[in-house]
Amino acid sequence: MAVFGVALAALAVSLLVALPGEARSRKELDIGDQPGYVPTPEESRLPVQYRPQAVSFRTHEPAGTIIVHTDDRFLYLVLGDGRAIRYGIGVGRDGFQWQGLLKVSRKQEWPDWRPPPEMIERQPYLPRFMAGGPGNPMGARALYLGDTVYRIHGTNQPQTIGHAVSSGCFRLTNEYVIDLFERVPVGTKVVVMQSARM
Amino acid sequence: MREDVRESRGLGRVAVLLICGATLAACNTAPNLTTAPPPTVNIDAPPVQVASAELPGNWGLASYHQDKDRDRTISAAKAACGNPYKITQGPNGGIMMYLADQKAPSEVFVKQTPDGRSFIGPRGAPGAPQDRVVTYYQNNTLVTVWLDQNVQKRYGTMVFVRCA
Repeated sequence: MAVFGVALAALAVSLLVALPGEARSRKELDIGDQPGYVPTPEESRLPVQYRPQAVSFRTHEPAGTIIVHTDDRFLYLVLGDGRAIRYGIGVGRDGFQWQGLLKVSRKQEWPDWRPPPEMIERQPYLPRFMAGGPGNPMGARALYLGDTVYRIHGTNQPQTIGHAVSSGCFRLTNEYVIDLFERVPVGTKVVVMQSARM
Repeated sequence: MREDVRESRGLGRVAVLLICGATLAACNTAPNLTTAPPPTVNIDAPPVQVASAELPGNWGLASYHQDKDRDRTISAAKAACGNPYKITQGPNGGIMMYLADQKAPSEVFVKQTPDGRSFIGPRGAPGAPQDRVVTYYQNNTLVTVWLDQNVQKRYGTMVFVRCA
């Protein structure tokens, strides 16, 4: 099992290929992180298409697998029997998108956040570390993907769901990342693909 | 440590109330023959002595919202010295620090109340909305909380640890 894990990790790393963003025709939000911002319940209410819902979904992946369709801005949790739960997500902005195969290596409630150096350069008043909590850009939960810097996490910017705004992570609203967090264990297979077409 | 105990109460109840004699007098038609009392800063904070001259230098900066995160936030602040928060000497005897959400530093001053509480903020009476109150200053660690409730809610408690 351990050998399988190592092999899978190696495969995953080899598959992590930065791809050009294909959402060029889509109008994207031009918005940076807002550390400390706490959205209102109204702001956290997503358009219907981005709320979790059971959908028909054809895949060869087994039940329990997470499949991300970056272009479509949806994450699917495979239920089996041609069904999945679909969540609306925010994805990596142009130049920060990738595809590959990883596993959930760790789960964390209210994860900490460390703003990148370039953000500190722009906003030098920011703390270099913000312990998890409301207003934290990492949101309420995080699923760490392998040993990469990528995560599936919550957000304090629900308006970014459906947009390409991140540095390669996938974000859900806090309410829905908690829902996903409780459905998947460590070790869950995560397949990230650019589009729904294989 | 007394400061720790006081700090752990949290400052969610912090309220700034400057009771000015002049304000009271404005509602009173009778001649005010008594001397107006000094402004009172109604903020629950421990007495902490801070010498402004000690603050310039490089600091690791981290923040937390819940007391359970305090110790590891201090550790994170120490680890943040690779990208330090710089405090420098100001031109008018104060120190240069960033006010909340301000990209350029401003000159601020350490302002103390008669009972020993310390505030850091623009020149003026202690307890102004742009001030931060010092809740701990010991062992090269400075802990402050913004008085502006909105800012405080967003950033929580700020921990500065002096870099070596």
